[in-house]
Amino acid sequence: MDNAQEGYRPVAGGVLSVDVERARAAIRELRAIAEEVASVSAGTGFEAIVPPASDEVSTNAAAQATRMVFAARSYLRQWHSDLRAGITALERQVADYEQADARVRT
Amino acid sequence: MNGRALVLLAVVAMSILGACSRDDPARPTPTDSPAPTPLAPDVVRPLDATGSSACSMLGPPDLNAIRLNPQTAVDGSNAIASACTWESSDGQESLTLVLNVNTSFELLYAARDSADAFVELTIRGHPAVRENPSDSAICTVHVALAPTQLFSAEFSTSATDRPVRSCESAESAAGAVVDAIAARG
Repeated sequence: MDNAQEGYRPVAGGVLSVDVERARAAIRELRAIAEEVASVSAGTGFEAIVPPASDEVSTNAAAQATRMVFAARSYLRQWHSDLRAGITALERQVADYEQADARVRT
Repeated sequence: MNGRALVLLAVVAMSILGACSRDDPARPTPTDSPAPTPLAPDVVRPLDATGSSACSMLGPPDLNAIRLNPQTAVDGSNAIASACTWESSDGQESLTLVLNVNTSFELLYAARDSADAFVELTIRGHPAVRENPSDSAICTVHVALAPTQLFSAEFSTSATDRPVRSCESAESAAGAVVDAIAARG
């Protein structure tokens, strides 16, 4: 047993208590982060990249910059997707807990 | 935030590349090399969006159709592009429109290998590209109005209590934008 973590307390068997309000607050925070990630993605519009001239060097530089924007947006899209998956899982767990809790109380 | 850091890095890198590629009289330019083969499809009926504001491109019916609140428009324009963002009333869905009349549709094709997906579309007769799979919660569609004029419509949702229809919404908005520009003649 690792008791090194500060605040560690052994839990007696047979009792599980979840702070639903804190779980909901975590969901709200995750959703706010997801919205922020989406906002950052929207701010990386490649249309802001304009080749400074029409020669091959300039257009190649702009194409490289566009590649970087595509890659950055791909990363943000995946992060956003993971956040959504986390929110969905937490929401399901809270709903399941509330159902189980209601059954126990009746 | 890591995302911000990554974007910042990309912007810095872009600045460096841009600085390296500015016209320099002392630098030789490859004028004698053959012209590269065009990658992007032709725009059969070009439209001119010069002087148009992104925020004026979509009206309340267009925005209501994709669950966005017309009153939430925020103009994000800069010296290079006109941009506008709208949100749903609950703030969980948003659309950002970026309009640039001085760029190149070819750029997308030159960078296509870096996109999550590169799906060619036709929107109101105009060549377009979706840069992600159709089920993405963040969906970006780029539409060519003319060889050097294009816009992007990016729809995102953070909502988890309804089906993801981001690409459907982005394409709907893109169609409405083409209609609006065509109507202006």
